[in-house]
Amino acid sequence: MNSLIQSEWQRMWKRKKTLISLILFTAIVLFDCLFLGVQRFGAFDNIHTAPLTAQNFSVFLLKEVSFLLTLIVAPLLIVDSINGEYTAGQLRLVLIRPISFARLFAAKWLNLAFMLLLFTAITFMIGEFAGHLLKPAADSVRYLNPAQVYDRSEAFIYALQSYGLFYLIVLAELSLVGLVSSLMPNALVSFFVSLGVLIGALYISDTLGFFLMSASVIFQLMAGSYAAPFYGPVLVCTGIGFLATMGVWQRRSWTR
Amino acid sequence: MRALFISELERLWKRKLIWMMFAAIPLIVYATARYYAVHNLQVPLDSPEFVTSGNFPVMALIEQLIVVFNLVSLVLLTLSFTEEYRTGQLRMVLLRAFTVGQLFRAKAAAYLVTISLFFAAYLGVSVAVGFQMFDSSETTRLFHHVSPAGPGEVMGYTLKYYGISLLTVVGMGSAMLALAVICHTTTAAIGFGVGILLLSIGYPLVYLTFNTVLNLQLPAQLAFLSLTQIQYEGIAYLLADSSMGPGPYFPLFALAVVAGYVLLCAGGACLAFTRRDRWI
Repeated sequence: MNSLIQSEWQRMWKRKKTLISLILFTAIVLFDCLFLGVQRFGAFDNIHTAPLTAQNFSVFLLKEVSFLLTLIVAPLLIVDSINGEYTAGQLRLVLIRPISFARLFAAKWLNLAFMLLLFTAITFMIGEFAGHLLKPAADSVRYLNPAQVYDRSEAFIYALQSYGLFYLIVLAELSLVGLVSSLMPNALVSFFVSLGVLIGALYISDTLGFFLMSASVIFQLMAGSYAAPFYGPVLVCTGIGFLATMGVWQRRSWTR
Repeated sequence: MRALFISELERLWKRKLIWMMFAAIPLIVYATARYYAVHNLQVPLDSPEFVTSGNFPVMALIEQLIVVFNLVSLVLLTLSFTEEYRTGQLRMVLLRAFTVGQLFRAKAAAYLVTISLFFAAYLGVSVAVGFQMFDSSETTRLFHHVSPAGPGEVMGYTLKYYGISLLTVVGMGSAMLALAVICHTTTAAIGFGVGILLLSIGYPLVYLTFNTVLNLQLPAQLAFLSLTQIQYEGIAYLLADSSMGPGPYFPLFALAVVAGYVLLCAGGACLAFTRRDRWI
């Protein structure tokens, strides 16, 4: 399993797209920092705002770049790894060895999860760094819930928790897009059906709105004002998506 | 050349994805109508945003133009220029004595016909849904117009709005076309295509913010260098009464932006496409 993960990791970096997305993503995040840097207030939603400080900078940065990660970069990486390689026949030589499809998929899932963690962590680090560079530090910070006051270390924990919640959403997305990519005939269709599913989920039920509205859901969740259940749907999406995709891969023929 | 064009059109239309996109039009229009039915409760009767059966086709287009139409255009271009080329499906076509330039023109023509059909189908469906789901009224308020318009004027306005929208989508499509020709895989082409769409949507906000905060004193009109900004506000400005528009030079500026996109990007794409040798 270990060598399988390693080979999967190498194959992922062999695609130029991975590196290019990482570089472009970092560039856009840096630019977004500049954009936030010239603004004085950050908006939680259409009504509530807060002055931007070094402490809450990274949280507002997440709100700006979350779409880029959830709607473009993540689906692109996932579709390429799970659909692109299989439909282009690149896995033939890998599967000459006696590896089960299920293990291969598990290796892919773990690698993608790690890759997306990398993207999320980069955003967090840039956000914290740029925040301290561009904005004055504040002794106390308030977020969407005005009754809760956070001091500096608590604000750091708040930011860390927000990014953690965002990562949970990304993992749910990984499982869901992985399932779509395993069922669709080619990369192009997978990408657009995935986008459709992620956006359409909002119309099916408010409970599934976290895919599209990740940042505002996280703000509400941290303020304790999020009405719909969160952890249940996220874990169900991650788990069921993973198991169903595993099932699809397990039943595949080796002749592609 | 005509045979090549027809074969391109057939190759595009043999795909289920294209049929699915056209089949989705009624769903999209219906969802938009549901949205406006709720929205109508919140706006005053004499607002141009109040939807009647008269202005529903335009309002339905405004709501979906930036995302749906640009994405449809992206799919068409990626299928036709990236996928067919990179998977080698065009080898058989190029066995015949066609030049790559002819192939490019045939593909571009097939794209233009298909996207125009998509607009026409959307117009047809939204007219039908508009009459089904909204009340009609004698006169209709249009954006940036002094006085309410009668049915004939509304019809002309609708057709002009759809025509200009088509032009802007083709302009945006030129940028996507350039990316589709350069990229080696469909996922890359889509990623960059969606990326440029998001970039265009974000640019006016970033530009105007920097302009105000850093006090650069640059003209606000430069925000319309982004085609999505033209799609978002510019088309209504172009069709505004002369007293309520943004100035006499705006139509010229908007035309220059669209033409610039088409000439630069589509021209560049044509050069890049035809300079390759045929050993795909």
